[in-house]
Amino acid sequence: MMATGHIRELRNSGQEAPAGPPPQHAPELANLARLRRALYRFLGAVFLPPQEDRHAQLLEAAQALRAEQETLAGFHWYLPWRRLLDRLTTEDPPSAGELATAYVALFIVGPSGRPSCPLYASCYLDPERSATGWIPLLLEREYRAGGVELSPSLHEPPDHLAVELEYTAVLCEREAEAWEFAPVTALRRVLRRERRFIERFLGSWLPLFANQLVLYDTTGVYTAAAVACDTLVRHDLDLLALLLDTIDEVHR
Amino acid sequence: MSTQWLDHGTSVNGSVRVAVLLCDHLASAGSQLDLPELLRWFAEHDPDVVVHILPRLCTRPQDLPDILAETGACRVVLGLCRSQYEVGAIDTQLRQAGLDPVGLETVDLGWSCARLSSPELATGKAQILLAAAVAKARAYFGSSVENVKPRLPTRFSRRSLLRLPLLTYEVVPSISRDRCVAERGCTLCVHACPYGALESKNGVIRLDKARCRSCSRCVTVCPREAVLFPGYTASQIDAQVRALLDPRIGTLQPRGILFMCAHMRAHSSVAPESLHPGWMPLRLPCLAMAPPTWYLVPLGLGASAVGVLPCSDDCHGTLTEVVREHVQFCQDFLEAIGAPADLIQYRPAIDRPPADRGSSIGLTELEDRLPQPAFSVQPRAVAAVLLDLARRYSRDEWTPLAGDASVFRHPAAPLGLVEIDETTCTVCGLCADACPTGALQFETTAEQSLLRFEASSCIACGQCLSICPERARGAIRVQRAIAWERLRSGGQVVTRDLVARCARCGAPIASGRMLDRIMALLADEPPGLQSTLSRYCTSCRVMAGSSEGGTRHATR
Repeated sequence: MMATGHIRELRNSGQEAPAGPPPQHAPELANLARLRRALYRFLGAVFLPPQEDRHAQLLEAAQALRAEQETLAGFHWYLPWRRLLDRLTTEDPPSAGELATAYVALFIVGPSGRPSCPLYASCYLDPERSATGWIPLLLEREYRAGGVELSPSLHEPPDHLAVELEYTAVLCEREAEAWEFAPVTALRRVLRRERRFIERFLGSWLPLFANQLVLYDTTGVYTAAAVACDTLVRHDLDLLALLLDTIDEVHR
Repeated sequence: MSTQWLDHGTSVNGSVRVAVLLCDHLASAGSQLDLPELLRWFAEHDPDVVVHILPRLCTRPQDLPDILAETGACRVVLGLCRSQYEVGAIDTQLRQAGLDPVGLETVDLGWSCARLSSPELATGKAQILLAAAVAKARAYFGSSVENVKPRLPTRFSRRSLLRLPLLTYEVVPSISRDRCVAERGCTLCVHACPYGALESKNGVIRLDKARCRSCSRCVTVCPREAVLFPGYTASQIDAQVRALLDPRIGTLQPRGILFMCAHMRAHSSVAPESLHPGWMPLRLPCLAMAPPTWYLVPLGLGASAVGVLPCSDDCHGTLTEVVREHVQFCQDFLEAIGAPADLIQYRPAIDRPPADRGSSIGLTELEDRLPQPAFSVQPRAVAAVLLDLARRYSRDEWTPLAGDASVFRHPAAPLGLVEIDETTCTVCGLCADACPTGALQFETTAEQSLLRFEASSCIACGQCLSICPERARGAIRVQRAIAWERLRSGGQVVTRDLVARCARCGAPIASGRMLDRIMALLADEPPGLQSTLSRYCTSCRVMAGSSEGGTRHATR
């Protein structure tokens, strides 16, 4: 699956030696976490500027996901994903140029001079700008606490949607590693961090963003991606709650 | 935040195309079902239904995406040979076909029809059950990701993730923010939940999916239909029951509706041979979900009887109690309107036919008058159903219900009656603000404030009582009752009072009774204060304190 590579690891986490047997079903759940990582990375790439090479990779990744529909259809979030993948894997998918035009109009400069659907969390969580810089600051702190930092090549603030998605992908990878190698306490810590991040940041503004896109997006691609992302995020919140409850129950 | 629906029930030319998939085991030895006859019947009666017989549908479903793509169906009904089937595999294949599995309807034909005494009987009953499932599936409006909670399977397969649906899903209710009035203090759903899964926080109802057991009790206690449970909406139940009782489908008569708990494990307590073919099973997530009118409406749609068969084993105690109370209400109600109380039976003798009382209550005329959907839980729809049933049994429309019987009081009555004591009510209007159904309405005119009450909108929730500042003095009284005359008469003024106006600017201050009450409470205060409060509005009081002739402020 394509990588956006805009955040990099500061340290390795989840390297504690495994203590005791891994939780039941760990291999399957590690695979599930890796699948989610791939999906978040895919979505992160959708919301980056559609340059030619990235666009080609995106379509290729969409084809790869489409080929795995039998697996993906096992999850309740699949129907919105199907719409997104259908849109990107038709015989006549939107060109990089078409998407670039829409990207600029939607996310950079709208008809009024302002973007109609900005890609930054602050624009939705703090629309009055009453605490300018506060949300990016919180996010930067969160990223550092999670052991990653923004790549200097990315000229975007930490509350950009693609960055939040890629960080979620990193957390999913950590979760996969934890299922395989980490002791239960570390696994619980990773799951809690993941849940807290999604609840506090990504999940708190995605619905607003998706609603905005429904109004303005003419390509259908970005709306489909936002809805697919929102559905995946809300499903993940339920899933993480379930996993934490299950672990607590098993190791009580 | 708007909800992203997974399925809007897209239809072609206004008609929703439905695929009915039958397990080929239904044609195995010992089964009385005539599957070719079922195919022929649907082809003749409903061209928008496509019927396929599939090998091993219950155990190893295959190729559903291709079959469904070919049929162009938006909804699916499965006719199964047994109660257990490969839920995960079928759900996955439905999603692959672009369909929402929450809208899937299943009919356990193996249990309900296959072992009946003759092919005609078995096939006739299968027609009815499948047609009802088709009608219910057509009325499905879609689900959102909020309507499911994932579950880990109890036993994991050794196969890799890429080979199996890792998670299973359970349907849970969701709250429609557009309809919910929790910000007014309504917590009916919160209090109805026996598992403590709902909470009201800052005027927003939140569901803790981990605690929710999908009993759906919250769904039908909400008079605004703000709690959504896809698969069991009022419209779906309505469509299903109408089809189950439609005399044009099948020849089996008489028919009774048998409300059953969907959690009744594999029909453990009901052997197929013990169920008389006249009983039409209707499964609900929990019978406590059914409000009393759900048991009464089928009688108006042609049912000879209604049976209520709750699960007896591990059900939450309060839920069983609720079911009993509702059945008791229905029986008492029938008796009050002069109908036989045993038309509705708790744990009926299901090996015997539903009571055949001819046309005693199942009237086409009545069917036409029932609201659409008749299973709506909005109080006006409930009132319309009760009134229609009462009207049916009265020789002279209201005579049997006059006098003492003009108000039917019952602890489980779905409607209520609010009485205001004019001597203590201060007409503050707080009760109307809190009323979730709009049964109490506060109006102000230039001269007076008044409170209007509409009995057909009252559910006796008691929100008005809990917020009334004069409740200790008996200003408001709420009772569970059906007041026939009041239901018919619409909104009525229950109290009114002249508005006292500011002596300086003429702006309204408060109702006369409220001022009197305030004066009484301030009896020990200096007379100057009382005079200021009773003569001036809040804006003029400051100025009045310094000079009688101060400048005027902008009046409302």
